[in-house]
Amino acid sequence: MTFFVFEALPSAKKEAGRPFAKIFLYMKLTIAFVLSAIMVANASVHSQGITYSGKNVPLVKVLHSIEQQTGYVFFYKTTDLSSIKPVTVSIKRADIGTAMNILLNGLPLQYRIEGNTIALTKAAVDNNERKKNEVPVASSLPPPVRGTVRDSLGKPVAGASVSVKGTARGTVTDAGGNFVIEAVNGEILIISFVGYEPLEITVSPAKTMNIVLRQKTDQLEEQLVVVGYGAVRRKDLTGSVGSANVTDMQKAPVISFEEALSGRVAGVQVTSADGQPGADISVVIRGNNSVTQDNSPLYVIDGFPMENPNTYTLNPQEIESIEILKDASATAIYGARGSNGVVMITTKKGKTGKPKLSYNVYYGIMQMPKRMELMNGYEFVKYQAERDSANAANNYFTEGRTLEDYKNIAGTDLQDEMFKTSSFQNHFISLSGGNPNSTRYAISGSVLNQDGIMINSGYTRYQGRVNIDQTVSSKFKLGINSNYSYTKQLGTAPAEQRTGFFYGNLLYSAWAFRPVSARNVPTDPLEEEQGGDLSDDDFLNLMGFNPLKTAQNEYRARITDILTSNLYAEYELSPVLKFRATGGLTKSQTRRESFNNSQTPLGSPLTTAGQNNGVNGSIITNTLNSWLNENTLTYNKSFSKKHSLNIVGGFSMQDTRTTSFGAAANLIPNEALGLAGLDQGQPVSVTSLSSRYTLASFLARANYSFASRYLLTASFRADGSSKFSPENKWSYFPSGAFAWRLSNESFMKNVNLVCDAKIRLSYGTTGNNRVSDFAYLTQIALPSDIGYSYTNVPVKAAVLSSLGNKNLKWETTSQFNVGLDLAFFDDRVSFTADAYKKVTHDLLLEALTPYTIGFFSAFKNIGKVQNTGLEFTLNTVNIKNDKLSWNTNFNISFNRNKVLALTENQTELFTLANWNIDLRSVPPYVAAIGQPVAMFWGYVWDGNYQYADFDQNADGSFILKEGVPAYGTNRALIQPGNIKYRDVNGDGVVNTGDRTIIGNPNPKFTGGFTNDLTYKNFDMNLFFDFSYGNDVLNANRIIFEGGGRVNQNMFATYNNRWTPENQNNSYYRTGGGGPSDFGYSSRVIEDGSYLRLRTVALGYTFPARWLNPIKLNSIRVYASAQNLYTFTRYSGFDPEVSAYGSSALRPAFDYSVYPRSRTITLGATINF
Amino acid sequence: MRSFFAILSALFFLSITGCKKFLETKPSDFSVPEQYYSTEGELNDALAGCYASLAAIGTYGLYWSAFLPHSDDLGYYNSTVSTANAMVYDNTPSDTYYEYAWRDFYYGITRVNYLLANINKPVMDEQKRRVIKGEALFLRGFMYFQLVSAWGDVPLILEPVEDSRKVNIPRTPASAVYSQVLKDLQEARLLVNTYEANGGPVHVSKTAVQAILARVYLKMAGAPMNDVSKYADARAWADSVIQSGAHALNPSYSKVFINESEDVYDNTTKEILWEIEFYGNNVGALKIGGRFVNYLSVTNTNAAIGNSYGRVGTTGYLYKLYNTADLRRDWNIAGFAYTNGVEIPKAATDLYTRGIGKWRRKYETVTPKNTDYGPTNFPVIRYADVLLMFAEAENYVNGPTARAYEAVNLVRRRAYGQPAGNTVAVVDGLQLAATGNTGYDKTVRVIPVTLSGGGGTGATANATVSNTTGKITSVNLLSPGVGYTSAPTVIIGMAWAPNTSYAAGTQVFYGNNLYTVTTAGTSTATPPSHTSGASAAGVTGAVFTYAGIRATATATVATYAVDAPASLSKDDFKRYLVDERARELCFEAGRKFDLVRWGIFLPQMKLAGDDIRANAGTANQWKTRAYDNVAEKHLLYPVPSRDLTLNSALEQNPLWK
Repeated sequence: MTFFVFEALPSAKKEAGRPFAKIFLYMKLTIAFVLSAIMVANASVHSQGITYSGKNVPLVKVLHSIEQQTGYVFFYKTTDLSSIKPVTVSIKRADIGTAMNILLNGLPLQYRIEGNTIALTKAAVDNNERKKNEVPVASSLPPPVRGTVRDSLGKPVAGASVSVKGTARGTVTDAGGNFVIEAVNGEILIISFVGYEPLEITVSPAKTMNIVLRQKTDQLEEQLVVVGYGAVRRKDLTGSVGSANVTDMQKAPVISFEEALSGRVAGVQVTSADGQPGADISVVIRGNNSVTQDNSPLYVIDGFPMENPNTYTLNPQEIESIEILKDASATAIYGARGSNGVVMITTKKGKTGKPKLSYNVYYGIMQMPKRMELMNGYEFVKYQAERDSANAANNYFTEGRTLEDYKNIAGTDLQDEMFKTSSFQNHFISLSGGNPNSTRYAISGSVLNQDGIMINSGYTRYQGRVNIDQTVSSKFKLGINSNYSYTKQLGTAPAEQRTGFFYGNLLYSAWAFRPVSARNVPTDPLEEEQGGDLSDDDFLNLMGFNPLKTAQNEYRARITDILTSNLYAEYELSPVLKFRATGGLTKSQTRRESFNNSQTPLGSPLTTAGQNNGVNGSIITNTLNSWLNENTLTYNKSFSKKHSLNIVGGFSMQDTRTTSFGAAANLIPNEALGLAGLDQGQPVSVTSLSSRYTLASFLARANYSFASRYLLTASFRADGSSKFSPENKWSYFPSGAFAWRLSNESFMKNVNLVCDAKIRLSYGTTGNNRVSDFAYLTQIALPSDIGYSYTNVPVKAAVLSSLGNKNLKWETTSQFNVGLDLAFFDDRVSFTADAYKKVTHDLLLEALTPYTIGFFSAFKNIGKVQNTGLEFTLNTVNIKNDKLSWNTNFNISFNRNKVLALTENQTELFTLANWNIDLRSVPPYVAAIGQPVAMFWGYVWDGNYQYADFDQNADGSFILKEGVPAYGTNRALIQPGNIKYRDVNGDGVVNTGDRTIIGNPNPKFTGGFTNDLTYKNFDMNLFFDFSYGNDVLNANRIIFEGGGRVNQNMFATYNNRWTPENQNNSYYRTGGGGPSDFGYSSRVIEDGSYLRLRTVALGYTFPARWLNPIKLNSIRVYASAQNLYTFTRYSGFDPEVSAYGSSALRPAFDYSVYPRSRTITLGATINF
Repeated sequence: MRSFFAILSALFFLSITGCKKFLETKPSDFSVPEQYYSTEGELNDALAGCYASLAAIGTYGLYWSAFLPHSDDLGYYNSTVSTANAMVYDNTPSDTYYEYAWRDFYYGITRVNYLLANINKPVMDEQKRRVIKGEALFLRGFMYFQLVSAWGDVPLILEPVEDSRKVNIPRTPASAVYSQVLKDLQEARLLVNTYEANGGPVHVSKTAVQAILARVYLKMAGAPMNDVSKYADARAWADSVIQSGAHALNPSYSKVFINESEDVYDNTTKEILWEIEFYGNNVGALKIGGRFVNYLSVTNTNAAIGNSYGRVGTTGYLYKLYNTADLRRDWNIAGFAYTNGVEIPKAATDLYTRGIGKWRRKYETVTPKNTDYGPTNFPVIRYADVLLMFAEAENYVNGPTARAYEAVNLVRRRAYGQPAGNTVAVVDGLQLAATGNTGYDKTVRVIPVTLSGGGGTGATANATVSNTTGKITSVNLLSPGVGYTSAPTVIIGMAWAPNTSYAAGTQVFYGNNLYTVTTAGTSTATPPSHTSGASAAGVTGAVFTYAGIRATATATVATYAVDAPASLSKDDFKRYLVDERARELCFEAGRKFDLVRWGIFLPQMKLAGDDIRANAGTANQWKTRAYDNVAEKHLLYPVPSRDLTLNSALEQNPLWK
């Protein structure tokens, strides 16, 4: 089955022998290894999963079946069994002890397990009788040990198997969970029961052993999946819902759960903009639907739906579960907001039991895993001499210095000073407990501090949560769940484009800075070497600014205060009818602070901006207040055991108000006051915005199940939104799904290999309403940059700022999904596959309008986008025994995105990137009909012009041969070693007509691979994620491989440039870069495929016997690492990059981004 | 089950009643047209938006005033950066200069259309309503006039566009656009205030409308319409401005433009009928500074004077249209370059590296001076233009009549500073002697020169010192003066004088010797006369150290006629006006349109280009790029490709296809 996955792969990328192919082979081998391990492991394991049912079957036949299922061999005297009548038994997934107890219940037989054999003998004395008499079976046996087995809720576990390790002694617990067994101190008891984790415990001198069995969490049977307005058992799911393994995710030392989500769930693509603490993370489920609008999913956090919540404010350790609703059947219940998929997050609730206090701490370091290699002093001077010999003579060869003088000078690399090893720490304390009949509570708080690897950057979070559930009566329940969080993101963003010029970015100045100056080469041997001095002029000559000063002085902070509170009340009107009302409130305030003092590029008197504006700063506070009320009625009933029906109906209202207030001032006289001195400056702008959006919805869903074999779901939601004109406010979203659980069919009953099989089909429509709150109205505004002055009396002007569209309505996505769920070997291998096709039409597109109508753009329902894809998830339990367990999860998804239609008359939509004035009007992206929403656009790079392309004139100069295509107007400028672009249309000239699609930022597939290992008290988690076939536009190379400015340093790769002695096709000769507006070419498009060892965690849990004396329940110490190693060919910092954030039109752009860090932490979890 | 539906229905029923109102949110942060335009104040704010579209980057803020009018025969694109753009006629229809100009005019037209559609909404003073309506109509007519002049046929939209789906709007024939322009302007003329009532040239006035009407008719009379009957209309409208007596010429040509930078309004002569006003330095809350000066004036990075990119240079062709006595020459063509904020004069022979001096940021009073934005206003129509338009139309209709001559000569007499006309005798040139000339202080780049005798007054000059050789490199005539019958004496630098307090570093000459004061003091009656070393303080007071031999120069004088040559033929008079308009109105954004309507755009471009090729020297040959590239298609602008893509009914101009 697994190899089917690989056959479904598209053929690997054009070139052979790429390292990625090796990685891929490695992955293949790993999978094969995992699978074979599963087979081997299964043969050697006896104690799990015996299933048998039959009426009046001879005992021998049952024993034979057990032998086949387990590998145990029975030994018995035929005469002992001859008197036994045929038995009627029903054993379901029982371990051997349980199976034997059930089978032999009431029969005059007893059993003894010795290694792989089970001896059956006539019962000398009945167990119960023996207990009564308290007479040992044989005098040679040790004295009896008594004990009680309970579950974590304190309920006795009856029928649990208790055996002494390494002996044949075994028994089962009675109805009270009690057992008696012969064992001596120091021997180990193995206690197991279906549905619980097996437990080993050393016999202690205590009179009665109290044993608590933990319930298994990965049991498919019982696993509840949170879907909208309810939860269903996973086996009853009809839609496509992915569950993230939260336990594994919590092992990643990250700030936000989204950082750990990448690669966890098939069909979910997570990309963070760069490595800055708190950087934007885009989550896209099953491909981009929208072209110009937001593609992020709807987040439902504890039932409260939010578009674009700040997920950093949520503490990942408080999350109980994350479900990703993917197909229309699952998402349609969220109607107008469901089409980008839904992420359902449920936080931990109080659990019944004694108060449980837990403290988790980790501390670690973050490092820069990769730096850009730059030219050293000698290489730099050599290049400068080639680039501009007159300039080099003035700057580097003064006072008789020569190139050779620079040979042994180490030179300055500002990356050394820009980046550092930084610290990361987190403290989390939680208390939970409660009584099932009264109050359950979970209270927790955390403090997190992450220093960025770039100087003066970091992230801080203080957060607390209270979760209380109260049972008022058997019919009435209440609860509240509140979270408060304060976060502060600090530091300037290297990817921020300050000016629209490439030299405005922070890392430009760090990389561009000369490694040496003439001062490094003292003419007088007594003169001290002054390599470290950083003269402002050296940066200003590069049009940049000292990046150390920038990073240290540029104050940028984003501070958020978010309070969310959800209340619910649930009343059972009748045994089948439940009413639930919820009220939720979110209050969020985000303050963005910015201050440019006189040591920053925007405030320094050395720069144009600083001269114009002086010291300047701004504060903007955005608030969001949203309330939600939902009232649902749930009807749940089973009829004649075979039919079960669940209907939910409800009504919901949500009101969201946003405001933005702020002020900015220039020419601030007293910079020492910082932002507090804003009032002393010259006011520039006062921001004051407010808006509101309301949504009212009716929803209904019915789930019908026939004998758990045929499952039907139908849902319907009607949404009314204030975002549209009165005629278009309401929209309706139906969906339907059908699932057939083959494994419950009688013909499958005897297929022992497959324990669960289900086919799912679903179809439905969902919506997207991500437009501004009043996009349907034409707006008149009085902006600050439009006004007029009448004889020196300035007045503001009222202008038409945007054109409304009364016809605006929802964007609608219809999606078809077919899925398959399979489980083998008693759930040890489970496999899920989904295929989908979704078409989004009436696209909410901010369509450009001709200027003649007086507006730049208007929202229209225009265009169509299609996403088709395949998703596979494989979970395996490779090894599961007393000492060692090994689980694996592998998922992979393939999505193909295609634009089917754009604005009227438009066949392609070009998108610009404003980072470099030379390329300001040259689009690097195109969204063309028939192609994905974004493709890279530019020239095809053909290496360099070589001597063979030229004729040599009598004077030794070279002139391009007739018929060799050239760019620009002057063919004579092209010399051997110049960069060469392909004349795609064959007209003999390389010009704008030769631009074409040069790369695809969309991966062919993405996925993740997790291994969970435990050995005795050790546990280990290894998590890889990968992306294949996605290209990245590495714009750094446009500037740092032969471009940019005089006196600017280059990447070390450019040492391999074309010279008459080094004729190659890799890097063009000095000064041979061709026209500057040709920058976007396949030369700078790189394969961004990667396989990342994203998370590694290694833990050790101290044995209970060490802890008892110090009154602790448990201690686990662990080390975990994030982004430990990335296998990739990408030459930049990291292939997971998007300088333009989550824009669907401008993905995978790399220029001066914050490098991703490698994090290594040590921590401990202590349960008191 | 029954109870489930019963309760659910009850719930739905209860909720649905509140729902409708709940979903009717009202915008709290902006207005919608249906509710706006309801007070006089709102009409005024909307009118400010209409005016503002002429101060935008695509219009007079930058592109329409500085970039798109150049290169022409008078100014060339002064940047070696080989960016293909409209200023060197190496552009495609996607060039942003065209696109932004087109955009900003249509944004303005939309604002006018919305304003006019709602003009009757508020209850207000009817006279004030009439004025607002008149100004709005004028602005629409003016903007369509710009569009039709530049692009020919353009979409003519006179109502607010309310449906974003109705985007496919074809071009309206130019003749119909002109009709609408005339209709708007004539209606506006009846509604707007007089200049007097407006109190300045910012709100458009009756006479301003009349002057623009003259310009429109003159354009219609020329290419491409060539409807010569319109000369009479042009003549009549221009004459109506003259006859109104409301306007006159400022006696000083340069003061007209200094006023623009100083934000001074000349309400005495009212030479400027209508201008585009810019305000402030874009540092404060309202960012409405202009940018054209920052690109048109002499290259400079000194913040105290005001940054300029000097993106347009002046041609030798223009320089040669003037003579020394024409004060406009050295005002319009800067005879200096800035070095660290100091005006270093250019040699009299250096005609091909000069910047535009018409507007000078040093006169701006708003500080701190922004590198990119400033308050200098842009004159759209001046009385001098009205006079020259009258002369041109009169010449066509009646020949070079006395009235035609009178109009031209008014302009010329002001230009020469000779209200009475006739002739003017001036210092015509200064020649540096080849001998002597050593030892000048290299750090003082410019030293004074005095001209005395010769019977005249007012001539001024200075001398440039080389910062490497310490020699005077040129003696520069700054003002030619008047009344010079013989060559005046030229004295470079300061002569020694007795009993004078001298600061250290001062240079004086005595006889042929040049001395530097090395110790400050007051001179005695004994002049320094030594030819090496320092003088004794006891003898000469201050210590004079021998520096070198003084430089000397001689002057030449010439007499020039002020008035236009009498008895020109009709054709010669017209040709004379072609040059006179260049001399008077250069760099005021009208030259290219003038050349096109006269049908001589390409020949004139050739003249200017040929002059550079022949005379500018090898180092300046790159300045011919625009003249090499310009072609017939540039007579009309290309329709921006953005709109062509988005409006399927739009067609490109044939030569741009």
